Amino acid sequence: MPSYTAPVRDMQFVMHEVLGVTDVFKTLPLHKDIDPDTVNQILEQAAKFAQEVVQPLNQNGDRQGCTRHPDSAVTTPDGFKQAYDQYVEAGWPALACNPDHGGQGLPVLLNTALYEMLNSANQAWTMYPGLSHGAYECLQAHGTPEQKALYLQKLVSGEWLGTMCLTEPQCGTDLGILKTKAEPQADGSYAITGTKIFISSGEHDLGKNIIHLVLARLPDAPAGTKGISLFVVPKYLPNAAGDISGQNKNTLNCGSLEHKMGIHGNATCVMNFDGARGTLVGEPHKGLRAMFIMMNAARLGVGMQSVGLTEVAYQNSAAYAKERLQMRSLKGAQAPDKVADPIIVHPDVRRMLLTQRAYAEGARAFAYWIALMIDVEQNHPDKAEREANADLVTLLTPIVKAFITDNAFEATNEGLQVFGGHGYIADWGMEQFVRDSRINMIYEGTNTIQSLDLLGRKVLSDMGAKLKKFGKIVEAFIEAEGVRKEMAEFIDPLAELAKQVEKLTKEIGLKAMFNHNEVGAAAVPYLRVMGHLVYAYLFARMAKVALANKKSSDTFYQAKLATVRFYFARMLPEAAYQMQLVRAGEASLMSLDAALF
Amino acid sequence: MQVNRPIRKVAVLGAGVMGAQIAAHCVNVGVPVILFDLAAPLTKDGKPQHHNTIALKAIDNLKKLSPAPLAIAASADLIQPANYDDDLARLAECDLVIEAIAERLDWKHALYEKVAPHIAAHTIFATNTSGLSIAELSAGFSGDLKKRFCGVHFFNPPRYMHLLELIPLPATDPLILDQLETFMTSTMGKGVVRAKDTPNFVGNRVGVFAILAVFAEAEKYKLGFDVVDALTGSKLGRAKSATFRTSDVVGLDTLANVIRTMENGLKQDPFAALFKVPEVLASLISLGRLGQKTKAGFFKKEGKAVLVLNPATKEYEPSTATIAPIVERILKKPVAERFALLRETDDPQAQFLWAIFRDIFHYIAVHLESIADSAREIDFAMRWGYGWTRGPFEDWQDAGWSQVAQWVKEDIDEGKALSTAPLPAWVFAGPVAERQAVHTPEGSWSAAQQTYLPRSNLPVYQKQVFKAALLGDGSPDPRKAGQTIFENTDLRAWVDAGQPEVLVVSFRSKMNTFSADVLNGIQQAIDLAEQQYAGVVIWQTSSLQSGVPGGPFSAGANLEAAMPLVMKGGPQGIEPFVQLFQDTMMRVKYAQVPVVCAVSGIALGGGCELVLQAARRVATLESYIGLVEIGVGLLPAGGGLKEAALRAARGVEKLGQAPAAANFLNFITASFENAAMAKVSASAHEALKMDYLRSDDIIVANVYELLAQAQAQVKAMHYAGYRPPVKAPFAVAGRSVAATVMGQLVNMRDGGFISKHDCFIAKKIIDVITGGDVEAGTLVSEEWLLKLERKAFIELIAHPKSIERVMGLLQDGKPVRN
Repeated sequence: MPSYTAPVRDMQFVMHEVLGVTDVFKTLPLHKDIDPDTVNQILEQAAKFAQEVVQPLNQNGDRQGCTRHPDSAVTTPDGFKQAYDQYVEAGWPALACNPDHGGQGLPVLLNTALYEMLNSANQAWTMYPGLSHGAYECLQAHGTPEQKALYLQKLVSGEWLGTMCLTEPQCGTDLGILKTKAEPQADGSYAITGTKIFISSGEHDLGKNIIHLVLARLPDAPAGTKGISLFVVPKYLPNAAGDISGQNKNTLNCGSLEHKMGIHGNATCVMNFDGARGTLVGEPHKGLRAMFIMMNAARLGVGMQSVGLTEVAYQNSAAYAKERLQMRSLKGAQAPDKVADPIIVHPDVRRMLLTQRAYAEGARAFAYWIALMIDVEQNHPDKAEREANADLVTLLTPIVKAFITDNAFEATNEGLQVFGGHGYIADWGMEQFVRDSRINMIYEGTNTIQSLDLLGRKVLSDMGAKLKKFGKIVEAFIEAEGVRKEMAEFIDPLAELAKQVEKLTKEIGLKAMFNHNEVGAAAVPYLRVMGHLVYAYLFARMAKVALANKKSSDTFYQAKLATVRFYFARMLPEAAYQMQLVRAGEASLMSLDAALF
Repeated sequence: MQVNRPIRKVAVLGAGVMGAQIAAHCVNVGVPVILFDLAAPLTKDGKPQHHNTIALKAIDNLKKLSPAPLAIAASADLIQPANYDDDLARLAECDLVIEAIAERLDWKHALYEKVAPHIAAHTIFATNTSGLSIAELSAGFSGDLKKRFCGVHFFNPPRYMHLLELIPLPATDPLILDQLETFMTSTMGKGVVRAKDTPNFVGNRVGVFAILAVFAEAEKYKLGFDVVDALTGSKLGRAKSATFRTSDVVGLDTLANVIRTMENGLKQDPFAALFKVPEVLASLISLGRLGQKTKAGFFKKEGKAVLVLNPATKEYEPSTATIAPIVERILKKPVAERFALLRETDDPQAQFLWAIFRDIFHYIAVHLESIADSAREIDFAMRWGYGWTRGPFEDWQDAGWSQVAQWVKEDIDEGKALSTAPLPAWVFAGPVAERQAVHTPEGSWSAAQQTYLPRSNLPVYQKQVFKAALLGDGSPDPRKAGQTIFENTDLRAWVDAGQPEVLVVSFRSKMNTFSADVLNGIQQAIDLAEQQYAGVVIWQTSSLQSGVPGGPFSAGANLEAAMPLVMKGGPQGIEPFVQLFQDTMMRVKYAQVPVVCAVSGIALGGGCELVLQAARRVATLESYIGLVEIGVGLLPAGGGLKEAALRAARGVEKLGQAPAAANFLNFITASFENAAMAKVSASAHEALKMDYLRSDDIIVANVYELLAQAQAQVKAMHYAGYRPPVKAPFAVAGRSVAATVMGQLVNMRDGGFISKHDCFIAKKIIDVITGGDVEAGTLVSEEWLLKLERKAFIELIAHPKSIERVMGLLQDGKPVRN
C-alpha cells in the first residue's frame, strides 16, 4: 500500500526561499499580516490531515467505488463521509474564502498547497471539496445578493457542497450546442430540463445539500455560445431563510454512475433535470462568461491534482528503488553483503525517479507562483499591478493545466515502471496513480484545447503582448543573474530558449495569417515548448537559492541542485525537439483525405 | 578676417593610396585639386610615356577601390594629374599643399627642397605623415615656411574616417592652424584633433598600442584570433572588423611598419617592451600572408567560409568562435558594473577584456601629458580615427574614476600590467580625483597644464547646433535639448533656442522607422508650424552617431509593427496604415510651410519617400537613399512611385515633347530600375543623379552642421515667401510603356537574372509608374497613383513569397531571395 509524507520542506522552500511569498503578502492589504510562521503552521496541519485522514482511504476508495441506490441516492466509499466531516469541522473549506461569508480570508496560495497535499493523498475524495470551492467562487463573483445570502455561507462552511454541470451527451468541448432548457416561471425562477453527463460529485452522501451550477438555454436564446445562461439549482430547495429541513427535494436526480478508468471514489454522475427549479446567475445568455471567470482557478485546480499525483508516485517509487534488491550495479556490487544491489544503483532507474522528481518540483514551483499571482491579481491596491498579474495568469493557466497533467501521466507511469511487474499489480497502488492521473489531461478542457487556447487566444490574439510581459520577467532575471559564473550553466540554456521562443512565435504568427490550421498543428508542441521555458526559468530561480546555500549543512540544497541539473541536462532538451514539431507545419497532418483514414 | 581666407584649390603631392584618396575627397566636397607624382620614366622597352602616367593610374584606380573613395566614380576625372618635372609652377595656384608621399624622411626632404620655391607666399604647406616628426620634417625650412607648415594626418580611408589630426610646429602661425581647422571641419567634413608632435601623434599612438595590447593579452589568455575579434568588435562599441580582421584589411606589412615606428621612435616609452612586431605577425609576413591583399592573413576566405589561423600549426581552420554567453551578458551591463564583473569573473574571455581595458587606461594615463593637450583629444581620436563609440577616458570616468584607478594600480602592483610604470599623481590627487572626472563642463583635463582646458571656440563650430559631446562635458543631450513643443512615444517636436522659428521633428522609433505615432506626429508638427513657425526640419538625433553609414535617417516602415495588422485583419488590415502614410506624405508635400529633410545615413523605403516629398533636402555626403521595398517583397506605396511618374511627366513636358509612349520611356527607365533593383545611392551625389535629391538641395560635408544648414534653409525659404507646389493633373506613360518594360523583364526572368517573384513585383512597380491600365498621355491625379500604389501593396503583402521575405527579414535580419 502506498504511503505519503507531505513534502513540507520543499513547499516552504518554494514559498519562502524562491517566491518570498510573505514579502508579497505585505503588499496586499488582506494578507499583510501573514507571516512565515502562519504559513508553516497551516502547511503542517494540512499535511497531518492529508496524511492521516485522507490518504488511508485512497486505495479502498478506488476498489470500492461509489454506489448508486435504487432511490438514485449515492454513497461514497467507506470513510469518505467521516473524513469529510472532519474536514468541515477543522474549517478547511473556509480557508481561502471571503470573511464576509465566514471564510478565513487566507491566500489562494495556501489553498493551493492544501490541495496539492489532499490530491497526493486521495484525488477522488479531494474532488468533492474541490468542486464545491469552484461553485463557491462562481456564486461569489456572479450571484445575486439573494443567492449569495442563501448559499455562500453554507458552501464556505462545507455544510453544503457544489457541482458544475456543463457537459451533455452531444456536447463536451463545444458548449455552444448544449440543449438543456430553462423555462422562465411566474415567480421569477426557471424550470431546468435536460441531461448532464460526467458530473463529478453530482450526487453523494457527504453533505446535507448539493448546489448544482447548471448551464442551460433560455427559450429566446441565440444559437451558439452566446445563448447560454447559468443557473443555480439546489438538490434541496431552501426556504428564504436557507433552511432545508423541510426536505423540499428538487426534481433532479442521479440517473446513473459512469464506469470509468480512475477516480473511482468520486461519484461521476449522469444528472437528470426534470423541470428542476433554479435561479439565474448573472445576466441571461452570459452564462459561459460567468463560468469562464473561474476557469483559471479550476484549471489551476486540475494542475494541482497532477502535482499531487506526481509527488506521491515519486515518493513511493523512490522508496521502492532504495529497498528493492535486484541485479548488481554495472560498476560492480554496491551492497556486497546483500544478495543484490538496490535498484537505485542503476542509471535508468534514477532517470525514472529524477524525471518524476523534477516534474514534481517544477510543477510545484510553477503552480505556487501562479497562485501567488492570483492573490496579487485579487488583492493588490494598485490597478496596474493587478492587471499585470491577471495577464500573466491568463497566459500561463493553460500551461499549468496541460503541461503539468501531461507530465504527471508520464511521471506516474515512470513510477509504475520502477516497480516492474509489481507496478502492474493493484495492491502496490502505483497503477491507480496512472489511472487517476489520466482524467486530468481530459477534463476542464482537454490538453489540446488548452494548447489552442494558449497559442490562439493568449499568444497570437494580442500579437504576443502578454507573452512579451512574461518574456520581460525572464529577461530581467537573465540580466540580473546571468553575469554570475556559477549561474551560467542554467542561464545560458534559459536565455537561448527564451530567444528561440520569441523567434518561433513570430514564425507561427506569420504562418497562421494565411492558414489557420498552422495554429492547430503547432499548438500542442508549442505549449510544451512554453512549459519548458517556464520550468527552465523557475528551476534557474531555484538553483540560485540552492547555490546561495551551497555551504549549508542542510543536504536539501544539494539535492535541489542535483535535480535542477538533471532537468537542464535531460529534460529541457525536449524543447528543441518540440520546436521542430512546431515548425513541421500542417501539411503532413492535413494532406491525407479524411476518407482514407 | 584671416580665418575666412578661402582655400580655393589644393595640391596633393604623392599619388599613393593616401594621396590619391585625399585628392578624391577634395573632389567629393567640390574643392579643385591637383594630384602630383613623379614624372613617369621610360617604359621597360625604352619608350617614353605620358609624364602624368603615375598620377593618371592612381586616379583611375580610385574608381575601383572599395570602399569607394569617390562619391561618384566619374568625378575622378575632376582630379587634375600633374608631375614634378613639368608642373611645379602650378603649385602657385594652390592655397593648400598636402604632401603625402612614402614615409621616408630623406625622400620627403628631397621633395620639399624641390617644391618649396614654387609654393605661394600665403599657401599652407602640410604633410600627411602618420608617424614622422613634424619638427624633423621642417628642418631646413625658412622661418617663413615654418610658419605655414604643419602636419595634417588623415586616417584611412580619408573619405570615411572622421578624424583629422592637426600637428603644429612651435613656429606654426596660429592663424594658419585656425584656417586649416576651419577648412578641414566645414569644407572637408572632418573632426579635427590637435596633436603634439610626438611619434604616431595621438590616434595611432593609442590605437596601435591598443592593438599590441590585444596581441599580448590574447596570447596570455590563450584566445584564438576569431574569439578575440568576436570580443573586440561591435560588442565593445568598436569597428565590426575588430582587431585581427582590421589588421588583415589594413595589410599586415603596413601594420608591422607602424609597429616599427613605435619601436624605433619610442625606445624610452615605459611600454617599449611591447613595441615589437609580434612573432605571429612576423611569421605571417615571412610567409607572404599579408592579409586581404594576399587573400590570407589572420583569416582566410575559402568560398563562403572564413577560416582562422591556428598560430601553432600555421594552418587555417574553420572558425568556431563564440563569445561566452556570460561575457555577452556582462558586456550589456552599465560600464561600472561591467568592469567590476569582467575583473572578477573567472573566465579567460572576461579576464582578457578587463586586461585590454586596463592596459589602455594605464597607457593613456601615463602618456596624456606628453601626447595631447587634454583627455578630449585622446577620446576624440579613438572615436573618430578608430571607430570606438566611446573614448577610453569616457569609459574610465563613467565607470568611476577612483575605483578604476585603484583597480589599475592594483594590477600594476601585482605585475599584471604591461608595464610597471606607475599611474601619474594627477590620477589619484588633485582636481581629477576630487571631481572624479577628466571631462567637465569647463573643459577636459590637461595633464601638462594640470587644469581643465576648454574647447576650441573657432567660429566654424558655431555652425554646429550640437557639437561632438564627451561624457561629463555637460553637452546637451540632443534627444532632450531645446524646448519640447510636443512629443509622443516615437517622435519629438522641439525648437532650438538659436532658431526659435524652426520646428524640428526628430523620430525616436527603432531605426527611425515609421509608426502611426511618427506619422501622426509629422502631421501634428505641420499643423502647428502652419500656425506659428517658419517651417519644419525633420532631423534625427541619430545622425550624430559617428561611423559609416552613421545613424539612420529612416529605415522605412516598421514591418514588425505592421505585420500584426495583417495578422488581425488580413491583407486589408494594413490599408489604413498605408493610407495614413500616404496622407502624411501628401501633407508634407503640400504643407503651407516648407518641410525640409535633413538626411544623413540610410533613408530607405518610406524614408526615401519622405525625402522625395519634402520641400527641400539638406543631405550629408554620406547619404544612402533608395526604394528597397522589393527586397522584402513589397513596393513603395508612400508616394515613391507616384513621384517617379510625376517626374517622368515633368521631364516630357520640359522637353516640349508630346506625351506619347516613346517619349516617356527614357524618363521612366531609370526610376523604374531604381525601385525594381532596390538601388541605393552610395553618396549624396549619387542620390542627386538618381533624382532622389535635386539640384537645388544642399549637400554638407560635416554631419555636425546638418541641422543648422537645414534650419537655415527653412528660414531662407520662409523669407522667400514659400508656397507649396500647385496640384495639377499630369500625363502618364500608360500600358504600352509598361508592356515594353515587361518584355525586357520577362527576358531577364527567363534568363535567370531575376526571380519569378522579383519579376512579379517589378510588373506591379511598372504598372504603377506608368499610371495603370490607361492610354499613353492620359491625365491623372496624384491620388489616382496613390490608389494604385495601395492596391498593389496590399496584393503583395498577401503573397506567400513576400511573406517569406518579410519573415526572413524579421527573423534573421536579411530578406530571403526567392
